[in-house]
Amino acid sequence: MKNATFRHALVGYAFLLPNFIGFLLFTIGPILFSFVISFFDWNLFSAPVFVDTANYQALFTSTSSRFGFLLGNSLFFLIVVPAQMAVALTVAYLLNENLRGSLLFKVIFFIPVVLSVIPIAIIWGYILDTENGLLNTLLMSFGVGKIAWLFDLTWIKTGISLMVVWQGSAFSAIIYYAALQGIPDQLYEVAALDGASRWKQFWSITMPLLTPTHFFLGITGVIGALQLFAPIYVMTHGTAGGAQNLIVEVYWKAYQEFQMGYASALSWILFLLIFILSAFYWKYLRRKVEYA
Amino acid sequence: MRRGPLTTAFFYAMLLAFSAWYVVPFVWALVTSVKHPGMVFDGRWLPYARSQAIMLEGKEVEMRIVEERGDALLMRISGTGELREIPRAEIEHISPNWKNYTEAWNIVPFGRYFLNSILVSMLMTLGQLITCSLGGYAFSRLQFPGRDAIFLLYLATLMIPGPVLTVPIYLLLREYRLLNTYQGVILPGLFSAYGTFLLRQFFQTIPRDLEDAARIDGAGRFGVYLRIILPLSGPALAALATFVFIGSWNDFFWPSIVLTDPDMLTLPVGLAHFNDIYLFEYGRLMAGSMITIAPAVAMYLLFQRFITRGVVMTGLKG
Amino acid sequence: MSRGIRAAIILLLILTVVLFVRLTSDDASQYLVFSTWGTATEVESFQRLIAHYNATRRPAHKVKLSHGEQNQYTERLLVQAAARSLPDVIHIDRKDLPLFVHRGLFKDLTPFMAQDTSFDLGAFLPELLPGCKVEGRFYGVPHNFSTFVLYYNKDHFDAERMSYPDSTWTWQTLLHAAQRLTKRDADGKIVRYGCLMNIILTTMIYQNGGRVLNEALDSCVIASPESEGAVRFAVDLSEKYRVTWSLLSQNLQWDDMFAGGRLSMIANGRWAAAWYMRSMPSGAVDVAPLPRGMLRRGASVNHMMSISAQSTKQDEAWDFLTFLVSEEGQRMVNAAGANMPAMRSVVTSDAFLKHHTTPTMNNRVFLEELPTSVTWPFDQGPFVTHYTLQSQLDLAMRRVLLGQATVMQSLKIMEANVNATIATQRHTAQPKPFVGSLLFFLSAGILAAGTLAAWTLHRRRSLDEH
Repeated sequence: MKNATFRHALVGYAFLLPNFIGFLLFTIGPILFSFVISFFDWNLFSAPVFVDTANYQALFTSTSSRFGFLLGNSLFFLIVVPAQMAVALTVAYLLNENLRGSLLFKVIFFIPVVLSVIPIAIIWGYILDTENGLLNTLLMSFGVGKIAWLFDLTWIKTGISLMVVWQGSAFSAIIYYAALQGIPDQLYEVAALDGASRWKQFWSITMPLLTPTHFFLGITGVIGALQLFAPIYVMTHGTAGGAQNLIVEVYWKAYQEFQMGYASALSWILFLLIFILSAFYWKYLRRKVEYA
Repeated sequence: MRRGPLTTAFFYAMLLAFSAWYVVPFVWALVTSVKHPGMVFDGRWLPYARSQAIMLEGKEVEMRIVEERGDALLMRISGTGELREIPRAEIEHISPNWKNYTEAWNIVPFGRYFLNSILVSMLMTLGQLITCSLGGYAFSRLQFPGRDAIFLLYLATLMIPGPVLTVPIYLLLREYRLLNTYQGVILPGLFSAYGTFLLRQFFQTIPRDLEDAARIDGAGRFGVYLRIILPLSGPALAALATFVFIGSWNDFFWPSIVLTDPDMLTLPVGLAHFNDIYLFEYGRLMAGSMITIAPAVAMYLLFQRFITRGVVMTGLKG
Repeated sequence: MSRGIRAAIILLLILTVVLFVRLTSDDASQYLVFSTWGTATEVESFQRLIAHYNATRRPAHKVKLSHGEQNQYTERLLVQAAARSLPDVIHIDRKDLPLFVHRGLFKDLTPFMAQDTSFDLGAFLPELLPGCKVEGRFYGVPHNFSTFVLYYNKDHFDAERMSYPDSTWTWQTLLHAAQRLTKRDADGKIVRYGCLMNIILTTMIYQNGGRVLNEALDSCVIASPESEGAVRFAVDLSEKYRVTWSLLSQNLQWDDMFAGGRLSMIANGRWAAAWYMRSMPSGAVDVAPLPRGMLRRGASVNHMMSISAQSTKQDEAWDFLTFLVSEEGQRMVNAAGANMPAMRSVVTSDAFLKHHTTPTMNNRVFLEELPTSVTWPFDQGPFVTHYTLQSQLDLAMRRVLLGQATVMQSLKIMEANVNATIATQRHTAQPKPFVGSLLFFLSAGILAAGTLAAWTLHRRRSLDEH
């Protein structure tokens, strides 16, 4: 018996090896490196200096660390998760109805995913522009005043969130659409025979069957939202302008202020945050997932 | 499901509203890509060009714009300096500037960048398909000590913020002399926890009986992997391939750090490199961007069906 | 089983190809690496220069170009420095020089200059030399530069029968001209803006007698009455006099609006000249010196060539560098027209004064702006990066424009923030003894315990599953 288990283990490891070596080298290795560095003071050019937990202490106690501010911004961006899921679900539902011209719509809805960071930043930079931007023109035609989307500290996060939802909902819509396609029509037909309205059908059939999708998109959405970097950085031309979240600060401290140790410490706190939120999500919402 | 005419109309209305939201920014980019210099931010949705000379009282007169006055333009006649107000329609006409596309193609070595991007993306996709399917199979079907613990470790690494890892990975690449090579761009992304996760979920939905039958027939583990698991995973592999391809096609930050040889750049990096912050040619930049998205759209259209089936089967739907 | 093994071997072969077959050989030690930024035409001109050098001088190590995108140029150099893979010859902007020198990344070139008898420092414009020095030693050799001028639309001036801008112009003259040039439609919306000075905001601070950083470049001193006056004027241009658009608006549109005739005057650098000429009717655009404030100050960017301190081929690097900055080398790059050559004989000749990209422009003005110029946008010193200062300045302007603070209050906040950053950079960390760190061992212990617990839990669970 022991022989077979040993052989099984060997086969298992053999399959895993190509994947695991790379994983060890390019993921675990650097992660351990950054963990160790978080206990040092390293400005990239001279030798690292061991400072014990000074970085972590500075993070929580120093006023210039603005930890509360950064945390608040990071948590604010979580708002994109329900927003993009709601939009995605609506879009996917409409596509699923298979109206005429659906193929055209499917292509249109995919466009945000296909564009890369720079054209999107330019396009949305123009849309959110204060003087001549599309959004402000629209608002002014409704009588609302101009908003300095990318400059006013009260609105900049909302402006960037609009852009993130624009792109994120397109991606999520693909997944929702596939999930909706997988729900057998008979279920709806039976419910219709029983006299259930479309609305009721949605809530009692569709939504419960989508819970695994909700779960997947929710958790990847939370992880992604807390790690939002490129949109903020590119939209504000690298200056972050008041929308810094924890991860922008990590980048900033590492490459603009050359405090690698501090940045590593901050990134580990961010990791803990993500981990806790994900674990919470996993533990409490997993039970709600039903399988057909 | 039966649908009344009112509901249909409502659905169409909503579809159109959402389409507008998704497509309007794109249409702006498309229109901008054919606009002439100096007319890019004029706030209009069609590309206009201005004539330098018009027929005035039977003679061709050269005039230049001085001021915009609503429906008319104040023009200054070149020879005499006289000012005249001319209706807009006589000076401006709709004229797409296709030179943006030809210039973008010529000035930026798009052909080479296309090939580079295709090479990198294909290698990345191929590599990930292989490593993630091997790994996914190991995690879903094989027994070995620490299996679940290692898998949770994989998941946890999805949550690590990226910026701090740049320097250690860069140091690693330098150690192995992988800087400025395509391997340097591909390798760090090759061992994707996300891909392994996705395929593991999928493999778990394949009925064990098929596998057991094959094992009884004498197939080894690898044979099972090759002849049972892989063929049945078409949709999931296609889905993963599409996501990886598009992701690496558009990836900007990592290639821009690793690749320094101007001949080796991939599309997004090449596009950025040749348009710096003192940029003026927005029309041309948009044209370049339009060119770059073509393969990604093509890939999506081709694999669209597979993605749907693949996602369904990974159990994301239930 | 054998079929399985064969298939496994094939699969592994594919994987090996993916992983190991080199499509380029990047043995950096084989080459002399030269790093620069640049648009397609600039890079092309450098490539031609390199090909010529490799062919005629036949160096032991051939020169190879390493291209960095402008926005990330400094950051990438720093990552390369950390990995000890800095390029040998580096094209660098004056504003970044102190940063690199302070960290010991660039080689002191003064001994090279002394030993090389064929090298003549006097061939370069003397105004460019101080920028290449840090604490009295040369760390770069001037290669090209650019000054800022006032571009204006002649047709607009002719139509209003106004005389063109010249060296007598002051801020007041500028304001009055801009007021006359600004046009509104029937609804009061501006259809033609008078001027745009936002690009040279920091230069205007100098023009009014203020400074961003002090002379020693180690402290921020922006919160002075002089700076306040300059910022107030810039803000008033958009908020009070309404001849320009607010700093809260995107900077994407400046050039396009100028070329399209919706903006009459714009202060910009040399790099814009060719594009303006190409995109506007012939003869419509010309240049004038920047209007003076209390003081006459121009703005310039100063680009130079440096050698990395990590380089193992310093003599060869010096040889290539001297070729780059030689008259021949400068003429080759000058053809692209992005910047102005630093060598006096080239820049005062028709090669620049009658440059093929700006034939009808008064190119002499660019040269005349150099003697009084200050570094644009920031002479940032060794302790802050460009983005830090820019970010703080942007935030300061926003506070003012959104009515959240007065100009002086806002500048004081910026000063405090920048000085805080400088303090962290100047602070040298004190090493702590490794033994005796309670928190460190505590956290390591928790981590170990947690991993162990998770492991045991899963072992138990997997046994149950089985």
